[in-house]
Amino acid sequence: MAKFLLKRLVMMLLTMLCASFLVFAVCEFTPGSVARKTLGPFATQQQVDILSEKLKANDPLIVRYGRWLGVLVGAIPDPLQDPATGLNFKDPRGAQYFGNFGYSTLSKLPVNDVIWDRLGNTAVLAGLAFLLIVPLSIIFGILSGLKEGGPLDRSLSVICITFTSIPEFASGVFLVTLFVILWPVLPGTSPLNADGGWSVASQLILPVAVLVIYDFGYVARMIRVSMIGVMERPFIRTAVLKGMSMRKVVLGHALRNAMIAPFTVLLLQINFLVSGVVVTELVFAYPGFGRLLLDASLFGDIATLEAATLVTVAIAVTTQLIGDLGYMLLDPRIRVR
Amino acid sequence: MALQDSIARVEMGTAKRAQRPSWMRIFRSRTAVVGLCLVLFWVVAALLAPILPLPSPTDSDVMAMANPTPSAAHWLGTDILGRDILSRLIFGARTVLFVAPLSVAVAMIVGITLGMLAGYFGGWIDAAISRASDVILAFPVLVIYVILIANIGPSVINIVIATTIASAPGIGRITRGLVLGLKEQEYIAAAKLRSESTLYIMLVELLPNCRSMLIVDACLRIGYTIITIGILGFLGLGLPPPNPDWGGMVKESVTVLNVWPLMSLAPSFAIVSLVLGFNLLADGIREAWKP
Repeated sequence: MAKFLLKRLVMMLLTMLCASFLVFAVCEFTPGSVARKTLGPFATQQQVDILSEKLKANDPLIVRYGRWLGVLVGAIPDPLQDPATGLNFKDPRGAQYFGNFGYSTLSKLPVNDVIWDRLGNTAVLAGLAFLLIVPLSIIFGILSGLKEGGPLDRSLSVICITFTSIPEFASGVFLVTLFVILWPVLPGTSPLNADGGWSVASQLILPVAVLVIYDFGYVARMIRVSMIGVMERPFIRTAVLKGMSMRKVVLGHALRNAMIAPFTVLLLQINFLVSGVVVTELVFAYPGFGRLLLDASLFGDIATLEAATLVTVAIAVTTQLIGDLGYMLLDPRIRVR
Repeated sequence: MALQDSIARVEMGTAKRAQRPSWMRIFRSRTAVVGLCLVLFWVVAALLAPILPLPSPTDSDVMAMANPTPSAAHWLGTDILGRDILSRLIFGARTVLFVAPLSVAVAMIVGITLGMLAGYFGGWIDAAISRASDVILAFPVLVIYVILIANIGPSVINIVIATTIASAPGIGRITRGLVLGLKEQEYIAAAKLRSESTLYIMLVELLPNCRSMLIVDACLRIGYTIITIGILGFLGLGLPPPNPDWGGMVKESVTVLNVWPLMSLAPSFAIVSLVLGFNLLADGIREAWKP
């Protein structure tokens, strides 16, 4: 078991290394240099060239990636904070410490000052959505999986397929039209402060609804397939034939078996929600991680983008690991050999 | 004995070639027919767009800008720049129905090739392809699109590239799983015994037997790619103007949603109906072809 965990941890680290390098490589294609973005559009070409020289931004890709990695693990100080650049970038934590994500050229703040609050806001949003997605999808999935092709299955399936066909920005438009414009009971933006007269709780309803609508149908379909598979198994037939009540068959025998496969699917939704928040946060002006990621990639703020990527990839590989471990706990037949 | 056994296997193998999933059976599924109708509606509209009596999708009707609500000249009204919404929807369908299937087709070719190689050969080829896929699959899908398109710029080719990078690993994984199950089958042993080339086995023996799963997957992916193209448009990463683009139409008008909701609602409904069409079609095909 310890060996398995160790192996998985090494794989996780490798995946994150590869992912961060890929992002670095893709950013090579960005029009405009780091120096230009740091100084703004009104700096002269000469100033840009001087800063590029000081930042060693003309070094080959692999050298710069190595330097970024060195700054991250605290092996070398962040070159952007060097007083010689004249940028006056100061991180209260110092220029050299473990977990130094560098300096955001977009917000002119250390990435560590920008990213964690945003991530917290997004965790609230995605967490609430997840708490609703799990019971909703389980109820829908179990009910439609009870009798494949029956009228209940058909109507629930059509509902689920319809909901998964609504992109977040479209459901945002629909919900805002309904609950903000036609029947004004909810706020149309969610800046997470009470300045507009709306409580923070009321600001969360629509963004959470948008995430739930797009996602729960998909999970319900997965649970449905798994439930159908279980209901066809011999032990269910035996239970029914010996006269057990349908309620007891479903709750006592089918449910746990039907939940094994969707358990991983449910966990993967955490990863999926990270995609979902990008659009949702933009629609509702929610100060979250997804918008930070979007802004950083549009602006070409590599330091922030790298930090955001590492966080999302870390979330993904961690949920995968938890998924595999939970899978083994739920189903004793699948244990590592 | 061994030879006779093998000959028997050859005969069995050729006789037991998997039966073809019939296209006609799809029409018995009501979901599939509804889905097909939705898709065909947009396909026909997109094809007929140049000969339909529509106002230009890019010209501004200055007179209509003051009151952009539906009128006899503009059935769905105009957008904030006075451009006809119905015309922009239909011309936008041309873009999306060209780019989404094209991207998915390229992604399917790459993904199927990788999955076949990984599943059929196994060993280090499988390990290399699978590990590389794991790295890509660790990214949230939209993040791949946003990072790529923000950096290499929005264009048809780049959307095809982004879709391929984002979807090929998933397609490869499905194909690999199917091939792993199929390659132990007798008709593959038979084909090997007939000393068919590896390419023949892959294209003629394996691929047709993966077909039904892959067609369903492609349908779902086209729907999802349409959503993604819409999202990219909404994020301001869509195809450059003046190309009418559904997501971009929502982005341009969402700020005036409280005054002229139809400007945002119309493209939102358009994208939902088309994606729903593909999703229902995929579901219907899956039901109809279930073994």
